[in-house]
Amino acid sequence: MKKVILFSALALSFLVTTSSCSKNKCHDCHYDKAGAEIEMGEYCGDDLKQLEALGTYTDSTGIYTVHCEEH
Amino acid sequence: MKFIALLVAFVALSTNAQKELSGFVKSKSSNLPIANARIHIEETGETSISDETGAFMFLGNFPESIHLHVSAIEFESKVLAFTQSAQAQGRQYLVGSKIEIYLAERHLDLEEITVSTGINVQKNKSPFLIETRKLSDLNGITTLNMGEALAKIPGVYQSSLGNGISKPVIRGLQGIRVVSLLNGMRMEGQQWGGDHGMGISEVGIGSVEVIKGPASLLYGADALGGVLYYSDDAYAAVNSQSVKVQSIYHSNTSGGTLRMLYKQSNQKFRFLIGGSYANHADFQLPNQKFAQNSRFNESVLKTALSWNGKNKVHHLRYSFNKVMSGLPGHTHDSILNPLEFQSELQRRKQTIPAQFFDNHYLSFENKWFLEKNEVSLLLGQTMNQLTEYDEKVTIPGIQMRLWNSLYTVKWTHSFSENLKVVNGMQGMFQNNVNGPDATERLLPNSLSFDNGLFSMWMYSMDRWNFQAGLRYDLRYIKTLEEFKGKQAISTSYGSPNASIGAIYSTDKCTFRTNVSTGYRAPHPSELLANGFHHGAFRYEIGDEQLRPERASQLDVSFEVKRDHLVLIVNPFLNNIQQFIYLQPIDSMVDNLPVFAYKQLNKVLFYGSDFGVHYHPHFAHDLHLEAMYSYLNVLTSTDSSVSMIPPGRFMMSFRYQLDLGKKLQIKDLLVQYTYMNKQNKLAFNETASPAYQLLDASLQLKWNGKTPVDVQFGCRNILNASYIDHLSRLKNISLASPGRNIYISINFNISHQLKKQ
Repeated sequence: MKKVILFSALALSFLVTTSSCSKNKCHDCHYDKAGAEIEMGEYCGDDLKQLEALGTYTDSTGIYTVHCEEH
Repeated sequence: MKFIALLVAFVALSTNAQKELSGFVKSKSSNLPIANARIHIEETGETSISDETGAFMFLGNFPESIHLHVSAIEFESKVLAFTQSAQAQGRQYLVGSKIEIYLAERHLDLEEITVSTGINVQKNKSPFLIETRKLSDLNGITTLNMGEALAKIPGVYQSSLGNGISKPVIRGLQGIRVVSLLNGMRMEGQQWGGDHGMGISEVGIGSVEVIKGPASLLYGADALGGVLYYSDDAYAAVNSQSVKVQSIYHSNTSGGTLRMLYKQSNQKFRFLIGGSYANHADFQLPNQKFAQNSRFNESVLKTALSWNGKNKVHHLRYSFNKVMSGLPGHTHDSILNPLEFQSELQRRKQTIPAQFFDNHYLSFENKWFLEKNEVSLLLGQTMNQLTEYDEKVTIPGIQMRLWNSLYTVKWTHSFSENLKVVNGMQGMFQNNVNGPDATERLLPNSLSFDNGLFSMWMYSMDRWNFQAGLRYDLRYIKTLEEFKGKQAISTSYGSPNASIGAIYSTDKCTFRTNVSTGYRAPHPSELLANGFHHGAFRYEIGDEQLRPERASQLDVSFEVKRDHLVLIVNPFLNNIQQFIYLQPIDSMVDNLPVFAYKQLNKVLFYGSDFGVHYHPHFAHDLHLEAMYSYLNVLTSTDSSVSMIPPGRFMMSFRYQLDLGKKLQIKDLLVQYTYMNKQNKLAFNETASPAYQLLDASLQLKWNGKTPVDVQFGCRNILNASYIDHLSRLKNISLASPGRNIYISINFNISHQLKKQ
């Protein structure tokens, strides 16, 4: 009885803990330029949030919308 | 630590000198003892299980008047009402002396206790036909979510968005027109949105009751379609502990669920604690491809604590669930390509668009019992947070927090054995707050305040039971800001409601009839909408002049009961005035059609449920059940009510086996569903063809030192490709899940504690 309770509680705690939202998620971001997908590399945490809040990437040729989602 | 010390002190003070309540449960025909009979005190929630000699015992403080609900497999259920020194049902039952309870053998027992009508009453004494189902029965064929399980009840359907989001539909009405309650506390979770999840998990839930049709008398505004009343699993039997561990694997989603529930009870207090975790990848379609982004996961925590003193009982409950659900078929494109939403690969990793909903439910229920009076106070606090990530992974598209504070006060007075009244007051205060980071707002920050007064009378006379009641409700809505070009509003709606019903019941037949009314105040989303609703692919415009919907229903049911056969017919008429619906106007905004909220003077929902349960005498272990639900809608126009469920026929064949000693084959269940075509359509709706499904399961039991139940099953055995008429994925032609083979392993261990 005790073993079953202990094992189940541990397994459930492990699953719930490991499935919790990570506050430091990382995503590969890119923008589209002249029909091509230009990779910007991986952004994490606050850097990712800042990039998405800005929403665009600007270079000498123009302003491009940034995407960090996976589809 | 201080809290625990205070709690222990409080429990100790709440309990006084203990009394003994004990007796025997015996067969009426043979006079032999009945082992494993369940004896439950309705007022306190305490349970005792009879031993091999039929003996049971409670030791503690009991109210002056109590109801014992006694049930056993293959026997009738009985409710015995008595006071400490009084007579009940013509027999003398005394606390402190042994009680003898006799149960007649019955193969089909349908006389469950219902709690959703405001008082505990046996089903054959309630003028309202209430469908009561144990969750374990609904899961004879294992389901992935609560909505799927509920859709096995006559007249109840589900409207789903993949596996992660499923909402109940009662007699054709859903969303804001269906009210859900958890142990009497109203659950609010932005249910006005068709793509907003339910927020309840199966862990720790023992049964569900469904009231079909308007039920404003008992639960206030909004319940025009019906009420779902979830009740917690019973506590462990007195002086025992139990643990239930369940693990399920589904091949279709390459996913599963792990659940655990621990219970312990002694004479002073009872508690349960449990949790579950489910994780499912994209579901597989009948064409072997996968529904893109239909993955979901769910974490649940559930706790409940109960203690009782002299003439009082308290229940403190808290549960939390957190769901991440992908949004399959979510698009901003105006031209849809169904193949874009199917994938060759099955994925599990969270992506966008996705919906997250967190639900906290806290309630404190108190009951005080006096000789002829019962007073109850339920206080509750809920919080629902709905977050949707759409275009960006760190900035939510939508984020809303809905805080809801609730109270219910009830006073029940018995004038005599035959006449009883329940008077009460009920209310809730809601506060909807948008997250500061969200890029879009579906609703403004707003408040609403509900209050209702009601009085319900019950009278019994021979085989007749009558019930009638009156209620008045007032809802005040105030928005706290200008919203999409519309000024803040401050308005109130009020409505009287009533219900009256009668039941005539004998051992052979039951006849019920009742008339009930309900009302629903317009929701701020209907009053103030002015923007895109991407999930529905339309631009919506609200109307501040909308008036409350009013419903009145006539419901009749007739049951024929024999030893081996039960037949039931349950026709109804539900007339809704000022029905609010969306009407297309000849306009487009950014390639999306524009719809405006309008009202119809009158919409009539009518139909019937039919059921038969046959248990042949020559095949003692065979149960055949069939049911058919039919619904139609009449309007002054022919195309304003959408998502009308088609006719549904369900048949199940269950054979209970008892083969083997160590390894037992327990149960074989085959279930067939035929869903009729639906040609009754609203604007922009398309017809749905008929489809049929075949499911089966086999349950084995291993009687080792630790008993184990194993269930194998297969859903959609024929791998039928179908799109349900109520599926939210119908617009992208995405079929429902294909064949699903599952295995469920259950450990259910009980252990007797040392008597204190």
